[in-house]
Amino acid sequence: MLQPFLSALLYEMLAFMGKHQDLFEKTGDERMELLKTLKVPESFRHYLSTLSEAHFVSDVKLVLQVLNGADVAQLPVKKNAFFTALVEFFTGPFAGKLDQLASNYYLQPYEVRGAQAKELILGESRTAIALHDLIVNSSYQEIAGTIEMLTKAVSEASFVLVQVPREIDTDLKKEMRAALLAEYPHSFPTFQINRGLLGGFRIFVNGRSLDHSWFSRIARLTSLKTVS
Amino acid sequence: MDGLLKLGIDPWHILTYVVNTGVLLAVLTYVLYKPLMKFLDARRDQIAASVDEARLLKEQLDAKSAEAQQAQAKFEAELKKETDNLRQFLQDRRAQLETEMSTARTEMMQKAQADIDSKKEEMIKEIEVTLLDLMKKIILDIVQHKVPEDVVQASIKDSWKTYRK
Repeated sequence: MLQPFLSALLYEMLAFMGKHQDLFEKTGDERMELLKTLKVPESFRHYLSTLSEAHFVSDVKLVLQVLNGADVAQLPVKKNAFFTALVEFFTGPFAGKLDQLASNYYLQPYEVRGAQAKELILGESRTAIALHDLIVNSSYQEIAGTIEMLTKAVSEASFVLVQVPREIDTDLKKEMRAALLAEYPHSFPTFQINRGLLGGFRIFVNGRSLDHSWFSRIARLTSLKTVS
Repeated sequence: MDGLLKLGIDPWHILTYVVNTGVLLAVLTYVLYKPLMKFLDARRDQIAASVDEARLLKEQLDAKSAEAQQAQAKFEAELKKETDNLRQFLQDRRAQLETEMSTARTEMMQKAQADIDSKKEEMIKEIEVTLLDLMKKIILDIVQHKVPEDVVQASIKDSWKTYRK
């Protein structure tokens, strides 16, 4: 699922380097100035601004292995700079984009999904098109599962699941994601609707439950322990 | 002598009578008096012997009677002692039985009370569970169907604020 995006990303970076073959000879600030024209997510610009040429070549080999079908979890990607940038992108800006999609988005017809994704992912770059296709052609569960696998392999991030009784507004979702991301770095909090909670919310972090739901309050209220 | 004859008394006759009487007395003495006396002596001796035997028997009887009285007294004493012992034993046994019965009754009552308490506690718990289950159903029904959407949304925000604290 990540292959089209990685392919586009690699293409953009290599094409950029073809034009700027002296990139790695420049200082950090110079590189950042130069990289402003590169149409890739910010985390990759930062990645390229701090990296040596040898490391980049090494990372490109890893990416090529993934493009050739290797399992990311089986590769030495832990703490790798490229894949860390990839995780930062998926758990940060990309996750924010996903949160803006309505809960019924994945039930819409293909054309409708395409139109909504186009409004969400602006630009005509290869990476933008790859992300657009990723959102249109994959379900939320597939995307979330892939990102969680990636975060687990790269930075052993926590598995965070947020259950809410109703669809929540984008701002609150954004705020919650940002706070949880700060609390559990490189995690990809997944939002799930569970009407049984009635009110409040419930968070699972690596299987541990942080319950702030009405249901649990009612259960506590009506439990024998409370009474006795 | 002639005078006697004139009176019609014959001395010979008198003599004969005397002799006859003597003979008669001698015969009677020999034939009747002596056996009679012998019989009487024998009878007297027999009576005396009987009297002696009776006295002996009486003495023996007295002795036996005394002995029997003594034995009876001893028996009565023993019987009294045994009776006293038996009474004491019965009293002790009764006291022991009363103590055991009291202990058993106390234990039985305690067990019965414990059973009652246990049953009571179980019943209370069952009632509590039923009551709480009912309460839960009522609350859940109200919350699920009667709470407006904006309240639910507000609850999520409030819970998030609480979580952030």
